[in-house]
Amino acid sequence: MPCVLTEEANRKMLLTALDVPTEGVRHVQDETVAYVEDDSQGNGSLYITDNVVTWRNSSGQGFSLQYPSISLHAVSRDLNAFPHECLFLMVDGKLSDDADPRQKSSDDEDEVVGPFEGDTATTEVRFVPADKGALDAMFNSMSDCQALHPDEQDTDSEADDFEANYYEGMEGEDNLTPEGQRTLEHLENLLLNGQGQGDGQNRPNAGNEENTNQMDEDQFADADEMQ
Amino acid sequence: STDAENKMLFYSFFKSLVGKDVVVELKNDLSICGTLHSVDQFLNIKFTDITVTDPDKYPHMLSVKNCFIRGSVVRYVQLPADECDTQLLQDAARKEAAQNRQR
Repeated sequence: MPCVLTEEANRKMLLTALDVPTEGVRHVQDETVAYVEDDSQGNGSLYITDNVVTWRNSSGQGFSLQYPSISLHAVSRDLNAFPHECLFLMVDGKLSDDADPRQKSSDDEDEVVGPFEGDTATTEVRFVPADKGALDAMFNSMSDCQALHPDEQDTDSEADDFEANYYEGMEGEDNLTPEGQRTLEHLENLLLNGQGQGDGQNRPNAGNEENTNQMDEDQFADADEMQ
Repeated sequence: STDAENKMLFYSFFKSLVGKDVVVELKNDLSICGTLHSVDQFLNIKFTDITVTDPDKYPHMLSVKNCFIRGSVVRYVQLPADECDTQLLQDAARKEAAQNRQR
């Protein structure tokens, strides 16, 4: 367990020497102040990359965040909650751990600890850009990169190809995608016909003498209309 | 059924809930209520217009607008009861599991 540090010493531990990220850079936001638990780290640049989120000041000091540790991120525009419009991040664990993962004890490396499990704290991080109009783009870039880092323990290697072919990214902004519509039709079909066809085709009950589930179909139609 | 099969059904079901209000409980006990904007195959969730059900504990979360929640930190998703046809879901889950065993 780490010893108790003064606030100032803790703040100094947060920042380490970092290079400017060059790979997979999705978004760069200069003139961005970083706050860690309400402590300003000063002005710097935020780099949202495929692999990591890095903030770095002009002296080359900064910190990096791994996507699996970013439990939640959001655009905060409520000045009552925080005096600046910002990109808010809820980070699992202490920032000093994220800045240099090699400092983790061997116990942490061996044990698979999920988010918020064990004694990990939650750290609130805020990025305040001078250009408040950039917040939505920062949010979207971070969302896109988060999708690149699903949990290792959640993936099923056999099903990876199936999922990759079957689904597209974030759904819901418009109407359902064709895949999504086919999926839902598939689910509907399983219930309507009572014998999973498995091919995703929507088959109306015409010609299927065994299908006596007229009532089920009507019930489902009602639920659909309610949506 | 495997985790992947379970997630396919959850993914489809959550997609059908887009536009509805749900409550998500995170593994750190924080509960967030919001309008479901979108969901992806990893069950990452995007909310709009969120509120925090325990503002005393997490005051800085108040009145955040767009919010992206990493799927792996979600413990529970509380659904409005009238949006949840459990019979439909049970039947669909059974059929999907049976089909996947045949493949």
